[in-house]
Amino acid sequence: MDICKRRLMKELSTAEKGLPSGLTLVSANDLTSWYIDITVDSNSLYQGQIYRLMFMYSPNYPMKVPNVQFVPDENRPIPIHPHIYANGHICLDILGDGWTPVQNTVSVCLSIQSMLAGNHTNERPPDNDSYVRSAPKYAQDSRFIYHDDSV
Amino acid sequence: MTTKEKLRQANDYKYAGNISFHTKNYTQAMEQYSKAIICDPTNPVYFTNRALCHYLCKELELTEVDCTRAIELLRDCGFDADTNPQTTSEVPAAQKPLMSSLLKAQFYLGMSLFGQERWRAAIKHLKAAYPLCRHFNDPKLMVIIDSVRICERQLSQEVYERETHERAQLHTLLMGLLNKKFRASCELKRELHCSEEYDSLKAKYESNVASLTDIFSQVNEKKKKEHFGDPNALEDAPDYLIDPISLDIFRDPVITRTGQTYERAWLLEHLATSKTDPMTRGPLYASDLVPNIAIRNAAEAFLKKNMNPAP
Repeated sequence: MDICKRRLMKELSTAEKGLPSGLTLVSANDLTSWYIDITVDSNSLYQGQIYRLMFMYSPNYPMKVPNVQFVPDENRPIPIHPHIYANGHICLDILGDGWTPVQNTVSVCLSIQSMLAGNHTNERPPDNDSYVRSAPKYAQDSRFIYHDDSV
Repeated sequence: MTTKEKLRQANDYKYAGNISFHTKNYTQAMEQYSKAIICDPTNPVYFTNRALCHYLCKELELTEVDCTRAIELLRDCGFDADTNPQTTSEVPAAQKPLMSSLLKAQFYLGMSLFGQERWRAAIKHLKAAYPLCRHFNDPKLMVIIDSVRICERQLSQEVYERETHERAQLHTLLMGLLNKKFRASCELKRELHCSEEYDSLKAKYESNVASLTDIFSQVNEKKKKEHFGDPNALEDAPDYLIDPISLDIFRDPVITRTGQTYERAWLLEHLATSKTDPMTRGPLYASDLVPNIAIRNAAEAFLKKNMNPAP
């Protein structure tokens, strides 16, 4: 649908003018997949480390949630967090049932940033090993249960 | 056969046509609707159904013919193409099928004209379909908004190209005149044996040519902005004129019970899968929406000032 392309173009032109602190646009290939580097402010477990997020938009965006996950790279590990699996999949309500079309790429980044900044537990999710073994390629295809909002 | 029997038979053909239609056998459906029309040539529904088959088979002229006939028949029933959107909510339930038929007739007529690149006529019929779509919360709203925008752009482009061509001709003519005058002056000076003034004449001529070219390129730039709008101006549109879903400037904004404003078409698209307000996540139904006229006027004024979509 046309709206998807138009909206992504608008988001991109805004992003190219400058992103909030801690976010860097790495690439936005033919609009439908973006890579964004993310850092977290000091005084957190993730101080001084850069992580890389991948966004994939379906033609139904923004009605449908984009697929968002961490992707590893040479010096870009997957952050250790009780809601982030070792394969980069993120368990966050706005990336599932909590998505609404007024959210956007930057607002998702900011949510992930604050999810990292507020965490003090240096652990993977309890079901990390079993999940990673059987997880689908894209986090979007998983059905997470958002049981714990305190972390 | 009595009239009553004929009408019943027409209806039977229509049902047979509908079955073929749903199995995507459009040619067969078309034949059934044609038989229905022979039995009862006064029912606009048979024409709009056949028009849709023509449209899906990319037979745009035939779509146009059937839609036009349906609109005529509907006008005879008191449904005018200019049916006021404000009064449609008072239409009795029994007349709903006719209204729905009018919607289809206007919409597919508009789309067939669009396909034939008859932009101005397409705009007229698509705009006539819009209030009807709104009444039925029909998802074709989005197609209408997009198509009308393309038509307006195309019209603007045509005018721009014609005017640019005319300006280019004028530019060439004036350049020719300048050159002629320059050469005549040179000739004159030569006859009067003051060839040392040639350099100053040439300099004057060249500066005139540069000024003229500059003036024309300024006018071209200005006209381009007038026709296509300033792409930067839209980015400078204030946030309150921007739909939070599409990030586009409002065309037909609606307001919810909690006071949030959205573009109608995109909000309806969202409500089709989730009956929630995207901002507040509270329950929200299409029937709760009312137009936000103040914002619509403000957005229209902004567009008029910065975009000038149609000449």
